[in-house]
Amino acid sequence: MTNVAIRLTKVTKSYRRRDALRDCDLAIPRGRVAAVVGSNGAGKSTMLRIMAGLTSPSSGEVTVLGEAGAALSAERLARVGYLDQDRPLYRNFEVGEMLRAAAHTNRYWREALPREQLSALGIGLDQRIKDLSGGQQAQVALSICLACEPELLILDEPASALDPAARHDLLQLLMQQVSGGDVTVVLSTHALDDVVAICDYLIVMAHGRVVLADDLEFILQSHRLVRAGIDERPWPEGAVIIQDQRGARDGVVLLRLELPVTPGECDFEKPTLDEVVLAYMRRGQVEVPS
Amino acid sequence: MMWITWRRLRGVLVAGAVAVLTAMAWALYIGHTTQRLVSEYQHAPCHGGAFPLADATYCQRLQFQNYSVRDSQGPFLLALAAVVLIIAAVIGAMAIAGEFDRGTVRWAWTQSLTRQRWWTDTSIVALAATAVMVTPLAITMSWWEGVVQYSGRFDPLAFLVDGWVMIPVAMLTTALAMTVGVFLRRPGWLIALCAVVVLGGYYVEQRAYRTILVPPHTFIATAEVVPNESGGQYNVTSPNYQSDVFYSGVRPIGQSGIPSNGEEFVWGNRVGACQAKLAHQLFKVPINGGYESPAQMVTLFNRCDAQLGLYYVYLYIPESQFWTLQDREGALDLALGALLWCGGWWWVRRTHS
Repeated sequence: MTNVAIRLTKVTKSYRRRDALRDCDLAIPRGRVAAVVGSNGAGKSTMLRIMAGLTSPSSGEVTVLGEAGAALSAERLARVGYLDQDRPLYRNFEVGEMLRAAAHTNRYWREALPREQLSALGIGLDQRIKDLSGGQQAQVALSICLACEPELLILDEPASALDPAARHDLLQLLMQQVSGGDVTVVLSTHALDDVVAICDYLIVMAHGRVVLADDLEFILQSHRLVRAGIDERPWPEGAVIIQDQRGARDGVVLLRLELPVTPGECDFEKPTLDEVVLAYMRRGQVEVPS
Repeated sequence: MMWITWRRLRGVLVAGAVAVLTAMAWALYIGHTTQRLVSEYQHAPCHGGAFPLADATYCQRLQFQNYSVRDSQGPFLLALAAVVLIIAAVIGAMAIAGEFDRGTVRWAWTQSLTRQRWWTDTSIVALAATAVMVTPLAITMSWWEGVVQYSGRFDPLAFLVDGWVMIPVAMLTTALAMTVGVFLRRPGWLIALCAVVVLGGYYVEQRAYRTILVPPHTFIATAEVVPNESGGQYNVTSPNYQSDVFYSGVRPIGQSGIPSNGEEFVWGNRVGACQAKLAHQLFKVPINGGYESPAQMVTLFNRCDAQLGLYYVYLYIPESQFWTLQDREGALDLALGALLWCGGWWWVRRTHS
């Protein structure tokens, strides 16, 4: 069994007049919780839909759980859970009916799991989906995904439009189920706090390209900020400038260093995740003309 | 997946069932009223028209009521046919386009079943629901048509709404709505489009292709000039014409005059010249002048037809061909529906949202 859960090789997705994805290369290791971040329109949802088999790439190769090909077989679909950003549930169904529908269509369905989860969250099985709040609908949708015992869980902005309490509950539910297991999670989000809290792998997208993809801790360790005396200090060998915003008096430069970092280089300031992500997103915008 | 589709369409199916039951109740009520009026008119004292003078007021009122009910036949049958088509289109549209419109297809397509299975299960439920809903209405329409018609049931130039052909038409509509629904994903627009396409297609089929499905018979009426009661005009008569065609319950779908010498391309000019000459002789009308009355024109036509030896050929489809046409039209609709279904299956298999 390969250690890579998802591999994209030169994946491009084109619609009529624009490229949603361009030459994306990516390899997400198994058992990781990967966050996909990027501005609106960066191609996050398109990439997740390709991973879930909903959309086929215009070119390039997709390998999911060791099987190549964009169209997922029923067997592979049974091992992949997908939660769309719109949380598409049958609004006229009762929660119990929605669970029954999922049980009909999933061969590895665990009957008790979603009932316990939803009961703990105070969501009754006789409540209609349309009468639930956005947060509760997200909980139901996630419970259904988790009850299928997927090896790969793909979540497209699962906590978007949720209030802080609902978002906390949702992420807690997610972490309870995936922690310690072999489940690979790929989730897109705009909330970098969530990334720090639950993810250990980061993918940054800008204008349809993957501009950064690596272990989260490695990313934070391998980047440094230079704020003062930019032109006076020698830069480490092999350092790559990710962002260079030098002004007349002051400025800021984000460097990517080669690990391991030598003691002298540690004098540079460690950036926050926000600073790294913003730098890569802006860099992507500069490199890829719209 | 079948249970999910049934549950998803439950509201639509309940609404459709209510519409079907309402239409059936309406048809049954009007049909029974018509039957009663006809029965009363056929029996004493009216005896189907041979009524004594003393009962004239009553019988004429009854006769008027009969005519009124029968005059409403066309719009009523059109309304029933519209109910059938709308129900079929709504079921097909909500089954597929409804999933796309609400985004739930992204849930369905990421469960552990193939898209072909999703398409097959969904369409089986939709088509079966359409057949179950439409069948009782088709039976009612067929009965109603038989009750209110004057004589035969076969009007080749009108929509066939009796017999079993409405069931294949409805299933074709559902298949059309399902297949087009994978491209046009707004159910409202889709339903309107399907109604227009099916009605238009049926109209074209009825005008252009029905005589291919069932070749028409011909009836030849020889022109015979006889003076009418007033003595001043002449009519073309053919003693067998009405009994062979009209009274057998069919209506001619075409007629043409053909000269006995077979000069088909010049006979129109010869008739025109004859009429102008006769008009001048009989009515002192200047050559190329107008006629004073329609009666004069009829007279001229008849006299010239007789002089030139013209005879008339009528095309008609006899009543005995009713079920043949039903079977062929039904088979054609089902074949088209199956073709559309296969197209949808193929598209779903090959493409992604």
